[in-house]
Amino acid sequence: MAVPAEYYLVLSAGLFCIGLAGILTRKNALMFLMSVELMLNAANINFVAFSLYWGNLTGQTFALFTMALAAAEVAIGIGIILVLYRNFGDVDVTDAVGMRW
Amino acid sequence: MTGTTPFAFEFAPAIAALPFVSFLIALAFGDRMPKGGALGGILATAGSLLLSLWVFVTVSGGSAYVHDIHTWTILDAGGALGDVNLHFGLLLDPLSAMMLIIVSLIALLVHVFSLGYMNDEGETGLPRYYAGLGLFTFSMLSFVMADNLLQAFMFFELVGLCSFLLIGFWFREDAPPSAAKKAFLVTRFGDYFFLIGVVGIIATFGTSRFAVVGDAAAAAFPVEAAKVLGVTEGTATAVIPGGMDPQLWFTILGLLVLGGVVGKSAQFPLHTWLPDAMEGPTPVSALIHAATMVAAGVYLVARMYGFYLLSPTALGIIALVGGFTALFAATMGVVKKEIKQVLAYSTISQYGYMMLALGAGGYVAATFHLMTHAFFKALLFLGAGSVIIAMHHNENMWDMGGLKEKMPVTYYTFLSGSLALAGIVPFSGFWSKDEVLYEAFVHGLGTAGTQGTLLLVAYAFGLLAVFFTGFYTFRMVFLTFHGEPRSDTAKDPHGVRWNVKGPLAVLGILAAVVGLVNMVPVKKLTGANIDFLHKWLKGPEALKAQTSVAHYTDGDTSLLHEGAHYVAGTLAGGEVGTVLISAAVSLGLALAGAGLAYRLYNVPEPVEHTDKLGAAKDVLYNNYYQDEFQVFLAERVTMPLAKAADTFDQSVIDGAVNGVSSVSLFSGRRVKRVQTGLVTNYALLLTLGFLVLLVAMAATGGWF
Amino acid sequence: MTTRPELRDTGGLLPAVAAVGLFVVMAAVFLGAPIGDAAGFPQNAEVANESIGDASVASNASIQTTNNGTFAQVATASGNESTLLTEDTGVNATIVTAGGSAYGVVSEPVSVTATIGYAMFGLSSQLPDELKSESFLAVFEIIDLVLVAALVGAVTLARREDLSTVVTLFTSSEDAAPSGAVAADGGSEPDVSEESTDGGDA
Repeated sequence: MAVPAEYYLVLSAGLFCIGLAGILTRKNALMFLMSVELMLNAANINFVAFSLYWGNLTGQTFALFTMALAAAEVAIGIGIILVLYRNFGDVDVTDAVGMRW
Repeated sequence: MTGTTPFAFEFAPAIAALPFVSFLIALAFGDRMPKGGALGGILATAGSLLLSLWVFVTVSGGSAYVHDIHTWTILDAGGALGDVNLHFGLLLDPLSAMMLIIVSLIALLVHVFSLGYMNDEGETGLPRYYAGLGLFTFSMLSFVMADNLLQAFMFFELVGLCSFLLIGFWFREDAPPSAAKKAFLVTRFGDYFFLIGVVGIIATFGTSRFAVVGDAAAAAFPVEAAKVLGVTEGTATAVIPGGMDPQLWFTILGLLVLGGVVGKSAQFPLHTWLPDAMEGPTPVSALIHAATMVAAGVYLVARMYGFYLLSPTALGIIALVGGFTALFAATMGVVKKEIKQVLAYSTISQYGYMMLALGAGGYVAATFHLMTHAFFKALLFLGAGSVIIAMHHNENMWDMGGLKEKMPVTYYTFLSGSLALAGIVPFSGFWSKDEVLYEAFVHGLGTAGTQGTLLLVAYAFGLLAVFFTGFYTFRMVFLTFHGEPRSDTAKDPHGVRWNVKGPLAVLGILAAVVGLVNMVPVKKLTGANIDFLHKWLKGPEALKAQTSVAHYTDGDTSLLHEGAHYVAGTLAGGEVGTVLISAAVSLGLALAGAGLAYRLYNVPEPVEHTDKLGAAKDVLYNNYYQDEFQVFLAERVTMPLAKAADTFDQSVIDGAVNGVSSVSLFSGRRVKRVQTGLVTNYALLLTLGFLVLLVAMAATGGWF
Repeated sequence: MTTRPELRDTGGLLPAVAAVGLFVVMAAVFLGAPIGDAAGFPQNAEVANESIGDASVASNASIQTTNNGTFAQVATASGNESTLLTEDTGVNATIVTAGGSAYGVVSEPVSVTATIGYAMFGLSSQLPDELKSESFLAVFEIIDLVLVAALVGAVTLARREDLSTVVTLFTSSEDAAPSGAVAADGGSEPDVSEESTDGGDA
């Protein structure tokens, strides 16, 4: 029998919070990218779960979108990380603190 | 005013516009024109004079003209008042037509005289001078033609500005700028009340028109007020604040407007600026501070006389202030050394007479005295200007003497003006001043109660002032022209040219004969109908129930009886006897004053007699310490108040404002530390914020 | 001395607490929400539906498959009566009764993936009735990709002129002019003395 939608949501929330914890605690920009991937996939789980829940395929399609988007986002992120590395010789996000008060 | 508008009225705006053009020309091109713009001014005022004469003739033919030229805005006042129309308009009736001629004539003569006083003396800054004269003439003529109180107020202020500019013409010296400031501030003090009065009248009646012709939708506020009080038939709407008694409220409004009048016409206690204003060029003194601008106050009362007649209290105050000022200023005039100072106090005194006449119900008398005074006082100032030219700008009479032989034209014209001022028969001043005193006397006799007593007291002031007038006038004449020269300049005075003598001659003749237009005593004696001014002021049919003298004072149904409750009384001998007694007393007093002056000063080597006055001498020399009193008021009363307000402003208000800003600054300096520049911190803040929101919404929405 | 592994705790405990807290709150909300059963996707879709008579004939009816197709055969006293359901063979066909009548129904399994494809390209006629979806979503996908491509292009190709020096994002120090190029976001190369006049993060 189908798994209740609540479990999908809890799974998704867990995945999201793991990604979030990565962003909040890590300093390495590459880890950031990975964490963002986790959070995007949490969203994907929700899409697919609710697609099944409503019996409507749109959610599935949007999950595909998200995957494409994630790939593009990684492209941008890698570009930014490259610049970060060029300027600071490191990929530590805590180095780039010029945009403050 | 049925049918077509008389042609002259179509051109009436040009009366004011011409001097304005001359003002613009003098301002723009004056320094490139010969005579520094004087010729433009002369042409413009001559044009104004011709047009004024044309208007005068047309008004004599029984026409009157009230016309809106430009409406700025129509306010919806709501309630009973409906729309309030704020506009520029023209009111051409006998009173304004007469005033137009006086103003434009004297402006013309003063322009001509200025050629001698300013151009020939090699003054600099002449374009500025003639621009000022042009602007003044424009403003004064517009004021005279105003058909509503708001317009009148605006031009009232504008003539005050011109007065300020022209008094301070020699702004590089010490005294004139200070005198200009004083004149401006003191008159502005009065005008403040005037402004409130204007607003009050508009708010009460929804209009500030003086008169209405041919416009059924419009209303004139004096007429409305009379209807509200039930003095005349008809219904009218007026918004009286707070359920006040209309009579009381109208009195308050009248007194507020009177504030401006007292300031502008230099009445006690706001008279102190006028003697100082003599720091300006003498032609300016003649035009502005004797003949026209100072008359604006009196003219304004006459213009809205129908309103004042509804308030016996206001009339009583006007009469008392006028009578008191007449005496008060005359006493100060007797000790002055400078010829223009004597004339300045004389001017204050004479305007006191006009106020007395208005307060006593003598509308014709006041208008009459306004006219004669304009001529003879302008003459005296121009004569004094001639003397000042001759004396190389030394104004001290004790340095003069014996000028009679050296400058006969000036002497005889000056003498004509002096006789008129002193009120010696048959010169113009006699007729008008006598009528003023007669009106005050008969109404004081006939009216019962406090009102009558008040008028009699004011009359007594005026009567006493006649003696002083005669004295100081002839003291001035004798010291200036008679006796032996007391200085080298007086022995060999500077000559004056035609442009000085011409205006003097014109005004000299006028000062002698203009009184003949309204010889009331002769009429009462012989029964001949020669009170032409009175007849003329009855005006055209269209304004019969609005601004005509018949509506104001003539007959038993006039406002004077119905509104002010004045009654004429007589002494023994009926009307004729009263006229004779009044005239004889005032003439006798004038002659007595003149005779005393003759005794004391018409000697080859006159000496100062002021020491005989004892303690009064210092008081008179110091003008009753009025200046000191006003300075005291400013320094001891206003200044501490202002300082307290300043302290309050600095500490409480600024403190609050600064406190708010420093709190923001301080907290901003702390809160900005949130912006660490660390992406991680921003993400954390986002997370926490979202968490808080989520918890709050879940808690309130019952999600848990 | 042996070292035990230690928890690296440079950022403090708050970020972790925040993340866990968020999870706890969300989980609590989700579990407490009255979500109910999922609708699910249909397994099969009807492709043919023929009436074969009253409900009473259902017990005598059967599905017969011949070379010509699939039939619903009803055995009566006068012989067998066949109704053509579909010309295909090997399909999933059953006899059902509904509303007092008997029907011969042919159904085939639904492919979710294929349906996604139909939906994305707007092939509405191919969509089974039972499986709803927005149509023609490929357009959004394409727009999304174009925009992202533009963004990537912008970041990649970003350059600015700084005192007659053209600075681009991915120019390395070897490519740059010997005078020294300044990186796109204001950082400076090691050989540039006047660094970061307008730099954001120096």
